[in-house]
Amino acid sequence: MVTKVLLTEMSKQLSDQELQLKNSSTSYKEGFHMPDKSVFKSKKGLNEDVIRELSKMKNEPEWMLEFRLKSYKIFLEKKMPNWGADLSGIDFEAIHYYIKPSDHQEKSWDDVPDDVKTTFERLGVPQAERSFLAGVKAQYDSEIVYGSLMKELEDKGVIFLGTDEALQKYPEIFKEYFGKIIPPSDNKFAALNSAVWSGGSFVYVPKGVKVDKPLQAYFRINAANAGQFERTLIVLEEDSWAHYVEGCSAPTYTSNSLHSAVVEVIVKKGAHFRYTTIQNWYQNVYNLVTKRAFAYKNARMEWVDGNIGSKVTMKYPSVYLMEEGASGEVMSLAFAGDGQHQDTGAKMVHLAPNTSSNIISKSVSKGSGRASYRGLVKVIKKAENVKSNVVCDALLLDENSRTDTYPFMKIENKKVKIGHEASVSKVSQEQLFYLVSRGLTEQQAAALIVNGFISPIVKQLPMEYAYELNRLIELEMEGSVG
Amino acid sequence: MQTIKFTDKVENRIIEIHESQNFFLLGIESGELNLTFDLKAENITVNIYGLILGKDKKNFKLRTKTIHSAKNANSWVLLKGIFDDQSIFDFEGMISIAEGASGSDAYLQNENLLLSDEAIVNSSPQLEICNDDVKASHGVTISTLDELQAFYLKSRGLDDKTTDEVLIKGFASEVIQKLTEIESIDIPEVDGYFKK
Repeated sequence: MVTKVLLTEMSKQLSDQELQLKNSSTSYKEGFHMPDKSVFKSKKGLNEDVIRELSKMKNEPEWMLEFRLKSYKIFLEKKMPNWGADLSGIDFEAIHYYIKPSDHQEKSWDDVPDDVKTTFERLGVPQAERSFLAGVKAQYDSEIVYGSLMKELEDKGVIFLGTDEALQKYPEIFKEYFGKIIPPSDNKFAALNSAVWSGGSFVYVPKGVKVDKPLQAYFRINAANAGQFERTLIVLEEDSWAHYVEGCSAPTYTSNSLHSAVVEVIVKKGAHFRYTTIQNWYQNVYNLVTKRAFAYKNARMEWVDGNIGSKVTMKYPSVYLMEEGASGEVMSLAFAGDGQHQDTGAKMVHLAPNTSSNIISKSVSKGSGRASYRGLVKVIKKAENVKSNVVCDALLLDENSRTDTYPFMKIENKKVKIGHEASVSKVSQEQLFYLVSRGLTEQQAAALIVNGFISPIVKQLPMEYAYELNRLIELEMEGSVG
Repeated sequence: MQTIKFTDKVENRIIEIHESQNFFLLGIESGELNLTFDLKAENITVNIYGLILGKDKKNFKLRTKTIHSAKNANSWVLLKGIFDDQSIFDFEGMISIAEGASGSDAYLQNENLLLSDEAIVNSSPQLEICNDDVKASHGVTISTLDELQAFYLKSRGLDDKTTDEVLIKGFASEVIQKLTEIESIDIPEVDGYFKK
């Protein structure tokens, strides 16, 4: 009943602009772009000079330049992954690795360049900030252009900065954690990020501090052939609490873009952290991201990972359960439309006794879309009394849609309880028939069923995002007969 | 029913199936089996039961691939493994449903019981589904003997050894029962394992 009311409301709220978009058979309202007015743009392609220039412009300490150059060597040595999605469309020489949109990060939207400001306004970032966020970072191509944090949190010692800014202002905390969770040698794309990283968020929550509203970052690619390599580092001290939300989108271009982020999270004793992503890149973006968290004694780490956009996504947020009592959860949602491949999943590595983990993955494949779950649950020998549960559900909407499941369980201790189950289904004719008999069109009925299928994950999102996601699914379902 | 045993060599087999059939995989001795079951005919049912009984330093590598090439076929895989001492089990179980194979119904279940802290199980059930009109699912569990069940049996007067034996046999009984439903078979190796 409630859902039906929501549906009607949703259709009422479709503005003219959206109807226009619907008529032109595209549902991607973030597809606009502004003229490229960047103040600096590195030449296409990557070499040591590009990295030196970038590091110099950022006025970085010597150790960071060395770190970048070392990472670049690792990037060259590492082979492309021979598993997962097809990455043959990436041309590393056709990408601008550093695009600087403006000279400063601003503290007021009024000071942000007009084009940039208009972009974020159309994406609804300042509006959301006013209504429900504790702090915001907005990244445009390679740099953070706007940042804010509520005064009371600043007074409590919470740090929420662009990662570049944090390197200048808090070099000690930075050096202690940076690259420790995900070293450049982890994989080819982590090495690439380590070599050319720019932007991203740095969050530090002091002992016992509770940040009760979400902190948000929004990542926007504007230029064509752009590479975005943000680097996020988050440290939660003992018994602290925070929720971080990120959104991403890009304009409609025909040439490919590359987004390759590295996110490192440290959750110390008794702390609780949730990291929510709503990824809605345009379908020309290769999204290859490494995300990992270390959870210490009695800490809890949760990843809520929504992947709707991009051409190819390969992303497996992981939690390393380092000490007793730690728990980890990944709630993953993937929507693969025509031509998209969402290769997503989760990793749980149990390194200590009495740790637990939970993975819930829901995927929807439509048209020629392909959604794959790939995951790992590992329990080392000394980790007793581990509990882990994995549930993967896949929904196929069309005859030529595809879904895969590739979970791996590596268990070296007998005192464990490990469960994994996966199932594949399609929209059931009975459900459709019932809803149609109650007066819904077939399309509304199909959308409602899809929304019901993903609702356990959508419920975990902040309300504004849940609403937006339901709307996106609604638009994605346009023209599908169910 | 066709029985396929682990022997001390690597065995690769592609089995094309044109009529309903049952298979039994038995793991007593170390070995590696790479088995492809290709369901080529419509409206057939293929059951694959397996019992892997590991002890000492026995090492089992098992890869099964169930391919649904034809419409309306059913496949059911049930593998139970019991691992004691330093035995190791590496399992990869793929269910692959081809584009045209609508009406397929496929299920794979792998349950493992660990009896020793030095035993290792690596399990990876996999799905590749290219048709929407199917039922496909899999499940894996890895655990040790249930403490509550053991407590109950002991409170009824069973000693430690008998308790373990009852629980282990109970765990394996689902497979053994299915096998005896198909034909009365005598598997001396299985009795040998439980008698130890």
